Amino acid sequence: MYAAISDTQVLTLIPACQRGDAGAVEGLYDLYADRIYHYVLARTGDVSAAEDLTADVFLRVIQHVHRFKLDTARPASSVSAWLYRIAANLVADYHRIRQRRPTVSIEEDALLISAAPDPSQQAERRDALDRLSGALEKLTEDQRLVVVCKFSEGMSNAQAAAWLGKTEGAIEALQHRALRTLCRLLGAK
Amino acid sequence: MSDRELTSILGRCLEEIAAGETAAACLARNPEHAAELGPLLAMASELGTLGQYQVSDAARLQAKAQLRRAEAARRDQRASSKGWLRLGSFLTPRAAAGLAAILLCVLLTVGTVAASGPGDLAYGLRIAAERIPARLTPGAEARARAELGIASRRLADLDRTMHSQDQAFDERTVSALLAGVEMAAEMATSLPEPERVEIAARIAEQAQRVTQLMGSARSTQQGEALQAASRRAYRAAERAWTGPVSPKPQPAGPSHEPTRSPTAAPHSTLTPERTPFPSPSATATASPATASPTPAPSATPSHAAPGDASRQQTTPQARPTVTAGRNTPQATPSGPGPTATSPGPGPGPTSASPGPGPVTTSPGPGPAATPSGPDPAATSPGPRPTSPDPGPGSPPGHTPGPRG
Repeated sequence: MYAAISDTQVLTLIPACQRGDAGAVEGLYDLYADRIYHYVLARTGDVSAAEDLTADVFLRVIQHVHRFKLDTARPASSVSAWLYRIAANLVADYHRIRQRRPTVSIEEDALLISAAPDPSQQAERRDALDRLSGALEKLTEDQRLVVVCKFSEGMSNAQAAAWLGKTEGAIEALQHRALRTLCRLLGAK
Repeated sequence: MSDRELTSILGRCLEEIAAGETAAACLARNPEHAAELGPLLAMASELGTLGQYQVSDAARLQAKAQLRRAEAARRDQRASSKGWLRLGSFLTPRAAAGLAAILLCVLLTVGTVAASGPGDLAYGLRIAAERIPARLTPGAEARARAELGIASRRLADLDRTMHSQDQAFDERTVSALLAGVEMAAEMATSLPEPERVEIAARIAEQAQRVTQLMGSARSTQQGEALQAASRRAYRAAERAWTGPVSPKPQPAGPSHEPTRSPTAAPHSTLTPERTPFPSPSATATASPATASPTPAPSATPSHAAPGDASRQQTTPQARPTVTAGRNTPQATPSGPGPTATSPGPGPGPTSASPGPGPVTTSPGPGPAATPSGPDPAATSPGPRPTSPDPGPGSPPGHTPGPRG
């Protein structure tokens, strides 16, 4: 579980990023990278791709931050929503490209597995991630975000509600529907 | 059990597990829902494994290096972009809107000024703005021509004013017209003779048009203003025509010698003054017929400016009309008369025109006499022209008789 990101942090970092402060962008990366990484990993099931895509999210931040309008009423929430939106777009691009041509060949896959300390365990985890990410792709975006916030990052209903700009009741309903769908999909397998 | 109830129980259970309780304890508290809750809680636990993954240190370092490079590249790109683009990127929407509003106001003002006419508030601005290019024109001749161009515009304004019921008479038009012609005359004085003559003729042409507009005056005041303007324009034409003249001593006492003095001679004098341009009164009623070489001056004034009725009866004269074209100054001069001894400096196109001869009575500067041109049946007491052709020395528009 991660410490909550405060509005003050965001109110300091975003204007600095807009001024072109490289240190501020790195600060933003430190603050959000793992959260974004969990989301991307949940959707791709690929550790290395998730790391690359997470870096890409912040590269896009550099390109577009000067146009970003910070919601001063809920600064942290507005920044996270923006970052997840960028991540969602990058994941969609990733899946589109992957459908056209597989990015990892059999030989490369074997090499990665053999490089791990425990190849069989690594392969198992990889398989579990693949299944999970495949099932998560069947959820709606709101359901996916609730799953990542609640179960990857360990947010409470109140935190997730504030993070995603929804009510706690909505968060409960979304998590129930998401879990039910995942049970159905993964249980069927 | 309703879906909403299960949602609520699941939510509560997950909160308790996050707080440190076990899934089994939760299921034990809700035995009636255990069958449904069990798989959901197991799935939630499996999803929790996602949280174990973190960005590796290597990837973190690599990403930060990438970010630094990208930020530096972006800074360079912004630094090399043009100033106005940089300004655009820094402009807030509010500042941009303000700038756009100011630009709009400027455009509207310019449009209003450009479309203004006599009587409008912005007309003064238009006059001033239109003179700026003329004032900046280098060279006396170019400047004189530019000033004449501006004067022509004012004349057009004046013409519209006099022939339109909607537009009020605006004295600024007349002032601007006179400023133009007088500046043109001033510039012309330093020019060689051919250019000077041409400019003088153009000024005289404009003066004539002003005189013609007197007929459209709607009030005595307007008539007087136009008359004064015409007179000044003619003086300017004469000044341009004369060129740089060194002051000559005036002959003492009344004389029949022609004079170039701009001062008006007494009406009763018989000194035919050599004036290259007719007075406003002479041209006010000029018809094409009068433009032709007319040896016989008419003494039958057909029109007169208001208030000059008495004079027109007693001051017959012959005043040929200036017919100078734009490039061919062709003012029809009248001969200097028998007493004219100082032919004009220019090779006026008067060699073929005998001129009306001397005028023995001076009409004075005012619009006293408005001759209707050559009239063989004229009952003018004035002498018939007996003078020979003034010759090439006669200036265009040379008119006998004292000049006003």
